[in-house]
Amino acid sequence: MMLPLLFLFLCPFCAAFFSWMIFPYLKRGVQVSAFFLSVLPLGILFFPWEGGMIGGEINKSLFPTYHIAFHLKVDSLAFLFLFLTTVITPFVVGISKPSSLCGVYYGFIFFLEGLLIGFFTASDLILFVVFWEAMLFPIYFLMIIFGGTQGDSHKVALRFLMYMICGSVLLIAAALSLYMTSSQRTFDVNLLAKYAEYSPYAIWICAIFLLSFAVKTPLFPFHGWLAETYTQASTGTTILLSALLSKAGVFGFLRIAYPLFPSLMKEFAPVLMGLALVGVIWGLMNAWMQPDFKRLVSYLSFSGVNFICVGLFSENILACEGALLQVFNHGITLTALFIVMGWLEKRVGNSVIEYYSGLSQKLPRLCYVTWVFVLATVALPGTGNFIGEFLILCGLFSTYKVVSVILGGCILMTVITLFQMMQKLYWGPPIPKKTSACQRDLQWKEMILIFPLGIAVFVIGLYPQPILNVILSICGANS
Amino acid sequence: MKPTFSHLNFNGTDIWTMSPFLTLMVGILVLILCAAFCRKESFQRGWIISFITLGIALGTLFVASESQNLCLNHWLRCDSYAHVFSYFILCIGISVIVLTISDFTNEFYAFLLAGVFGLLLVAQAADFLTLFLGIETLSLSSYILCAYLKENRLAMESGIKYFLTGSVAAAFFLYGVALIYGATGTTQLSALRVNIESHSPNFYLLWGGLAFISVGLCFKAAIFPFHFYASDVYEGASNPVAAFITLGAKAGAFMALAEVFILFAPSPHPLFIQGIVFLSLITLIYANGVMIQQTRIRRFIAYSGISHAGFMLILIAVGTLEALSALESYVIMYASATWGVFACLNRHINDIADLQGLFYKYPLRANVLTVCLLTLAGIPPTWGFFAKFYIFKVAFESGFTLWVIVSLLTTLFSLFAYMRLISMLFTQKQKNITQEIG
Repeated sequence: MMLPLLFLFLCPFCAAFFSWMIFPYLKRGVQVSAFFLSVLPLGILFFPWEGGMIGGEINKSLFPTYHIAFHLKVDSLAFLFLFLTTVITPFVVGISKPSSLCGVYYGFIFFLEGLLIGFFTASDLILFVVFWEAMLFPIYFLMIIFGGTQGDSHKVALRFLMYMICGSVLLIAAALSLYMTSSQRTFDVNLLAKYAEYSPYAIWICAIFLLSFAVKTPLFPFHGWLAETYTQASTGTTILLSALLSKAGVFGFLRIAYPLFPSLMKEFAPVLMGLALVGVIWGLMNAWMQPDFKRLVSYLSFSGVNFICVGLFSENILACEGALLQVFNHGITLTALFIVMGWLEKRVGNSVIEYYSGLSQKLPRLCYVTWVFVLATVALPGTGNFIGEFLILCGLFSTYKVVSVILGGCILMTVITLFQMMQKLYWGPPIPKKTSACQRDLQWKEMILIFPLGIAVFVIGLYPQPILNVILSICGANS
Repeated sequence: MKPTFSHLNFNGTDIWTMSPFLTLMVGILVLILCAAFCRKESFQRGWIISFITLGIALGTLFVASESQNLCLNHWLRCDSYAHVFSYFILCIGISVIVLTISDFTNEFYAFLLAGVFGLLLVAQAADFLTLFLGIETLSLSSYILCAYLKENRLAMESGIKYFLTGSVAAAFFLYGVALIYGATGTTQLSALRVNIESHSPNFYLLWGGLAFISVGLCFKAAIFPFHFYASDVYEGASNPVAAFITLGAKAGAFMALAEVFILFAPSPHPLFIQGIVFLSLITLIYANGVMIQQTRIRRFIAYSGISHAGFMLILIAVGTLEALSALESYVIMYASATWGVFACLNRHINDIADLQGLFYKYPLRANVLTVCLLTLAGIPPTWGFFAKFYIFKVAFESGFTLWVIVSLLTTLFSLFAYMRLISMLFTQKQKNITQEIG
């Protein structure tokens, strides 16, 4: 029971070490070997271990004097997020190859993956906080060393980091306060769940946790860092941020906020849901106005995460299921959208929408691949997003009719926003002078890379039962 | 009991107890003789002698046993804390000498070893007078080391400044000792608690004395209102000297504070605790705020040291044995990380801007520097986080909730400062110069 989880946890760190130490000496095949290393955790996750991965647990006292235990545990909730993490990482490795310092780049990606795996399985509050804060730094270094093409990525990276740390700076105090409340003097999350609500400062502690999760997700008024960071980072980093780090925030709500403070969360839920709803609309309105397609997708990602949060805070089982499914879908579709937008940016040299028109003639394959994921994002029936958003809307309709109507309207807005962008970029009359400058269409290697994501979108859309089973067991356990 | 002459019969055990000191003495003498008689350049190999001396001292510390001789016992402690402190001190000495392996003359190493000797006295002091002797030996050698680069005006200024402020601090300390002697009739650390209980001394005399002592030590540790010399001294001193002052003086001051206030002093007065907490908070706020504005790398390290000192000071207010172990882990973390930072610098790196693009030129050095800075900033997977966390836990358990919250908030400033430095390492040189001018 212990070994598979230990493998899963250590594998990315070993891979990171390997790529930091060995890759600089490799003349060729760096990306291929990095890709194989990145697939390993996925293999470990789905290897038919005796007893299965779900239920695996490691519990060793790490610092006895601090009462910190190295306590990792995989339950269904963790499994869903682990699946997402291990699926997304190979794509990040596959699509991006920096011009120099490849080993450093892949090393940080693996390091981040390891921290995320630790975070999603952590059952000790301090371990949770450690992974939570630590995962910012690989992103920071990825940004400052391999930052985007548009200049001051250092400033943006620092702003991102400060935003995040400001959100979570008081987590230590909150954790210590919980520790003092519990009569057993423990940081174990499951044990703390019994005491947390009886702490005299429960409302403050809960608020501190919520703030830090809200900043990373980001929930509505805490998204100041988002657009700049997403656009300044390289495509790979942006995918890590939008597909994985934002999910870490969602995971935080599910793992800490709900189990520890169930009744407080019930009180906060309407406020949080209102914020998330405003976030959905705000994100879409911003996306609509963006003249830059990378920023447009960033705001779309922001709005999508808030959509998930609306479902999550609705306290409705059906909507929660939808939200969890949507966590997965959002991860996949946004990854794909950022990948294709990254490819387009690489080919045309900038990310201004108005600059080009009629690219479908020059880049037909990229155009159709983009269409697939645009349709997936706007929740075309048959894609995974349809199931997820449908479940959220169904669940909401029983209690919050107005909210679900507004959200329905938001889906329409997504359609308009994305179709307008596609219209401007790919259709319309081609501008011969500018379009001739852009390089050739998608190559077979890139097609193969994006292919699994397209398949995943439709598999979840047409046969969602396996993943819904996992989600059902989460909801069954938590309700 | 006063030691009488009959106790002067030293036996083998006593010699072993003193052996680290004796070894250092011999080393210093050899170095001075070498400096006097071997004037040739080829004989300037002081670092080898110092290495050997410190190595032997470390070895003798392993076998040093507690002496029963009253004449020795009265002045030197041999308990487990003293032992741990002594190991730490000798390790600091060795690590500073590692930084100096270049062109330093023999007498430089003699003063360095004298400083280590003083620190060792502080570590094992059983009496206020030994403590004072240790601090003074350390200080005097540091003054000289600071001003050692005679051709450098900044170095002279640094030495003079350090000397003047250090003398005031010493005066404070000595005055405090005198007051305590007046109150309790003893200068022995271990007799302090007993005498206070049996004599019920004058409140003002006793706590006034302890306050003076803490002021004197706060000077050495560079706590906020007494920190003003630190940045200038660090800036003027050469790299290894700055490292020695940072590690040695700070460690020495905190060792002394811990000995007086955690191991031996009576349970502290609430007013005293409030004062310490106030000093700690104001130091944290001030140093972290000022650290952001620094442009010189050694001044930056100085302010970083001040903020870390402020952080550690809370443990003196907590005053439990758990606080002492937190202090030990934090001091060791701070010393190793700061040593790492100094090891990555050299005399050509003075401004923070000089670090620009270091990663692309010297990747290994930049990586070590990054890890050390992350440790100092207390970033989670590093040891710095856990050392900080331990202090937070200890402080929280003793009820300093407000302190925990405020100091967590001040870490935001320090984090910004450290990250700005790190980001400088990874900035490529050619493209940013024009932008900054424009």
